[in-house]
Amino acid sequence: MTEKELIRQLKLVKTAYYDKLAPDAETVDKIHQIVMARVGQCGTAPVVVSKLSFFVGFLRYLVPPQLAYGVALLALVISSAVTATISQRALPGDSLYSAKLALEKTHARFVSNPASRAKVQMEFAGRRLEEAATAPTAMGAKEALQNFSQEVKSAKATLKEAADPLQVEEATYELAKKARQYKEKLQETQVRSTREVDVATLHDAEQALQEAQEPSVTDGDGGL
Amino acid sequence: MPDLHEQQQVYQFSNLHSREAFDGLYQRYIVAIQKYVHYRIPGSENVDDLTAEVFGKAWEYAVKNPKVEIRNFRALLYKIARNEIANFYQAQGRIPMLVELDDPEEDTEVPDARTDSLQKLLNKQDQTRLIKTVQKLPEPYKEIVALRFFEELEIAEIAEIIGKTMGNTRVLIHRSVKALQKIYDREGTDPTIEIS
Repeated sequence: MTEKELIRQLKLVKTAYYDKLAPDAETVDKIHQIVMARVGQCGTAPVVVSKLSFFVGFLRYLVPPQLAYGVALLALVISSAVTATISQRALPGDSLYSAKLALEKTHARFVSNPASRAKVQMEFAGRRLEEAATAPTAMGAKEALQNFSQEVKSAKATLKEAADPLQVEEATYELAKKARQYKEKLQETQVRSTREVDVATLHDAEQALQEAQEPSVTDGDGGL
Repeated sequence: MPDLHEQQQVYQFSNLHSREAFDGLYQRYIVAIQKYVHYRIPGSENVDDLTAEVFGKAWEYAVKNPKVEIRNFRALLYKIARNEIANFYQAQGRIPMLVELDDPEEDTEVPDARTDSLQKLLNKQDQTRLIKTVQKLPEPYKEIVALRFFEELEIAEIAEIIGKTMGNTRVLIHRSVKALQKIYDREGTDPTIEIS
């Protein structure tokens, strides 16, 4: 008989022989009495818990620790992604506005190339300008403009860290182009807006834009 | 994999020492454990007592080890049953056969019998002969045949019960079948062997 055949035929042996070893009802009862008598002798009282404790305990029992950590991590990732998405629309004064700024700063930090990072920061400056135009309060508009000036200055400072002269030239051109666009937009916003934003804040923003249009002097040796 | 109701019973039994839950588990597994014990020590008067001992010890294990979380109650029962049977044999002066697993000549491929559909039916004589052969198997192989082919447990669970790796368990299953085949073929050529 081949091995495969033998294994198949064991199934018949199971029915013809093994299953017939099963105890009858009387034997099951007899053994049950012996077992429960022994359980009684142990003298252990059952642990009484509230329904909530039982539910929590059973849930922890069902979910192995590794899975629980994985689920918690996934929930964290999902909630972070949801927060990031919602915060995109936040304006100065909103609860998620600071989260929005923090996320943008983190994004910028992940751009390793200084020239590219400067361009990203200039893009973020553009967002601040949009916020200044649409902020619901004068305080919000002022905050947005202050952040705008800060971003423009940061972009200029970051560009100075770049070493590659070709990248610096290209980024300088981009920054200057953006600065011109933002200057026009700033002037439009001033004309349209019925809110008063203090002169100092406006002057600061214009000054930052003026500097952004000037050619960049890098800290690096430019490969020379 | 135990169903949710069983998992609840095991949780209540092991963590809360619920007799009702333990009773439910007893009803669920008494037939399987008693069959297994009866198969391993056939013709013995101690089968019922030994089976009761298995369940009694399972209860004591949970009570004395409150920090140990029991996840597979069935595997626990079989582990205890194996130990009790080994103690029984020791008391009778029977030395269990040792099974070495490091033989490189062994072919470790094991066909999964339970996925094959039955093509041929044995006649009654062949069946009886095979039953006799199974009874003649050395103990380690006899146990494996019961767990794998009669109780139809998964290899992972058998490995947990016998305390070996999955790889070693597969080798054991393969060797059990080989041993069965050898004895079966040998018995077929020996006219003096009585088939009961």
